[in-house]
Amino acid sequence: MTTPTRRLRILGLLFVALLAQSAAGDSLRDRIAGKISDDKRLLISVTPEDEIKIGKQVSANLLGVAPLVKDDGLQRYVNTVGRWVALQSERPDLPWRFGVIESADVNAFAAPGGYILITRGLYASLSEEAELAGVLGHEITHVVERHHIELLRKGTLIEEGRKALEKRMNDDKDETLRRLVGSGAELFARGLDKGAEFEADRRGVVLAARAGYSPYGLPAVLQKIASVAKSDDRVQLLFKTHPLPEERLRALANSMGTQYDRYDRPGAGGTLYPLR
Amino acid sequence: MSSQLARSVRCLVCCCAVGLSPLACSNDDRQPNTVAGEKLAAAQPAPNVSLKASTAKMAPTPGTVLRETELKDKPFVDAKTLKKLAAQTAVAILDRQGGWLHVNAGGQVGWVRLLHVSTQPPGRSGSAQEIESAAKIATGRAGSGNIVATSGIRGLNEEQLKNAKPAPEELKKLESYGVSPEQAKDYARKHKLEARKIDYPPEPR
Repeated sequence: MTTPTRRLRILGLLFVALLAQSAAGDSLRDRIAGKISDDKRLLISVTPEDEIKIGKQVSANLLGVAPLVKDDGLQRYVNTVGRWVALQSERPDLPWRFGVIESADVNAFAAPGGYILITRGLYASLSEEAELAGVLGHEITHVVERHHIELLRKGTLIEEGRKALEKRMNDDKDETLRRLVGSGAELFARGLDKGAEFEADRRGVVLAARAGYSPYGLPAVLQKIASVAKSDDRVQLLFKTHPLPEERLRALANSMGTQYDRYDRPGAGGTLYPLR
Repeated sequence: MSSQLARSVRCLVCCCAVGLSPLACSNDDRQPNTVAGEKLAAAQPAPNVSLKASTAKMAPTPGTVLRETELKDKPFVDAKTLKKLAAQTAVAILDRQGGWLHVNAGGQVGWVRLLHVSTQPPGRSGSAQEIESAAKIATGRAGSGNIVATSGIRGLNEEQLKNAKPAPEELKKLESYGVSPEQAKDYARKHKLEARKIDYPPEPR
């Protein structure tokens, strides 16, 4: 929600800065440019192509920890459902890729540019295609809203980014991006802010409903996750990086109300591809 | 029974963790709702058979009402209200249908909104019976997925992620699974999924 207005504001500032350059020489330009913080310049500089590069990089790293489940049929299936849901989003033309990875953890990961990985543990907990659509809808929203790019702008990674920017004249852009993203797949260990997670829930249910599924698939998955002991190893990372499921259910109850009941179509869609 | 369940789950999870098929486990108990892949597979029809009903009888799952809500006689907003349920009321979840849960609330059976109920981990209310049923979340079809309590299995952690080394071959494989918009639309047509224009809800205050 905030991104377009912020971008406009930044563009406005840039415009002012350019005017200033022609009108009043270097010193004024420098003062105005100083108001544009480094992190905002960073946001401007991350193009969709950069997002895809970052996505490839962190996905390759995550796959180094948890490789793809060896089942072409399963992988094609999640790509089909995922692509259909992603087509309902505001960024249908990204090179969307979806995968199920070998991990007993209950989690799913969205990398910039449209790379989405869901664990075997989470896939095994699903009982219908609408639930898969809801989970993927949540992750697709992270990509569409560039939540991880925002994360890179803020937080502790920004220091690294600033250093990278300073060196930018001498570095190629790929190197800059690599520095920005940090080591390995740590991007996924940090977690987004709660607001981004609630937004992904809110919009994820709508993306699934736009795709013709029940909007209640994602809430049903959250309800299952609520039954897992907080101390269970397989939800440690999820609970560390996300609000607790009860909290997410409450937030969804507030934002959804009864307005989406008319889109409820229990059992709509194909059959969940069985795990081997 | 519950130790059998735990054994089967541990078995399954180790198999997952090392990337073996769960079929390799000797899994001889007859729990109907474990996450075991073979049971999931056995319980589901062939992928191209469309299954419309998402209701099935499940082992009851304990749940708690999150906010005051109404117990309805049918899964619709304008259905008859049987009684009001206060926040924190304990219910047994029998089944799910879309956004509604079929529950037993103090002996009275009816439907409540899914979003008004949460489940909780086993252990909060001690009996073996409850622990076992808490592992089976009613979510639709019989035999479908659950997250079952376990211990001693290491999940993904920060250290692992930070030290992750790239797997370019795996990334290449991931890229190769891409599906075109046309293929996705074909699938949707085949399964009668129609795209609908629906607005996002407003950002809450």
